[in-house]
Amino acid sequence: MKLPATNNHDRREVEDALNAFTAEDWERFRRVARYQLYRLAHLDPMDLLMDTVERFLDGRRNWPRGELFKAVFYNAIRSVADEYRTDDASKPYVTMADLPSGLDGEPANLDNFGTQELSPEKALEAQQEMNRVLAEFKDDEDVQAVIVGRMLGSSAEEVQAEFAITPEEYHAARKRLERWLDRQID
Amino acid sequence: MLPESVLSAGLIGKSIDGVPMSKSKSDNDALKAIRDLASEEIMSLSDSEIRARANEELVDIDKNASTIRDSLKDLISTSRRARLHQARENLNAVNEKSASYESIASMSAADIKARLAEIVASGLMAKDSRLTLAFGSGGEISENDMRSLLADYEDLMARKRSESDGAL
Repeated sequence: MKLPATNNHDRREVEDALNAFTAEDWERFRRVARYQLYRLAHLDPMDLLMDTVERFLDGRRNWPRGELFKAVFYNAIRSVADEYRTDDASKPYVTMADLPSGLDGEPANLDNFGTQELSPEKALEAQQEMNRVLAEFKDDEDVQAVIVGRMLGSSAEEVQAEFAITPEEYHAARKRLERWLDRQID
Repeated sequence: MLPESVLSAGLIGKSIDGVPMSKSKSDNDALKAIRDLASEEIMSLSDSEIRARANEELVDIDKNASTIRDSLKDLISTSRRARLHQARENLNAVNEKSASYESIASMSAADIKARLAEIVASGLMAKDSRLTLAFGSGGEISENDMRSLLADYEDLMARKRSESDGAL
């Protein structure tokens, strides 16, 4: 009996699964890509989407057997966006004029600078952004509960139990948050 | 309702054990929570809801999907070509290797020794390679060892040639 080489779907199956996405599926993923790039306005959601696709096609990303491809693809978009964010966060705000010349007299490259730590400017920007969100939802306790619950790693059911909100109120709060984020990106 | 104590204490920014998280970490965690919650909301929409939403915002999802499918087609085609190219290269390497083994198997011991000396003299091998060291020490190498060494080095040189061709 020939055993499968890995526990992942092969390339052909990945191609078929990507080709089977409907227009509605692509629209959902396009919007997810848009949200995942929130505060990375210089990056294009379509590029994130196609970069994720490419990673599945060239084998950098796998689709484990027994898992739903849509769920795997969704998580891959988030993960690739996180990579972009980590790269972006490590870059300080400098202009080319601020850069010293290299040993060969050529201007140094921005990519040569920064570390994996969040730069002070980026940390400040995140703090300001969070203050803006809190100010926006200062009177909306359900939205605050949804955000706090997620930060604490609670499930939807746990958030509902902890903060005494109904499933309908939870979903309505998540919808308000989503609509708010949509407006911020426009 | 959120308990008053939670609101007044400002729960955002506290870890699960109530100890304040560093400000930048908590802010980033909160923004990540917002991004993920909004993404989940979108994923939970039905086909008709996502269409209605797109219509509302004048987004043509069929046109977008068509653009994405065109890009996908190109990516699949590029990816297949790359895999085919890689497979051909692997096959060539295997063929070269077996041709090299066959030709070495038919060489006399003297010819093998002469070819090994040629390789050492070419300076292509590192000074600390097994072959260079063996020749430098002046010690005797068995015929089997010489055949095996020659096969290894011919293979290594073929790979170096193929790499330098690829770099051009």
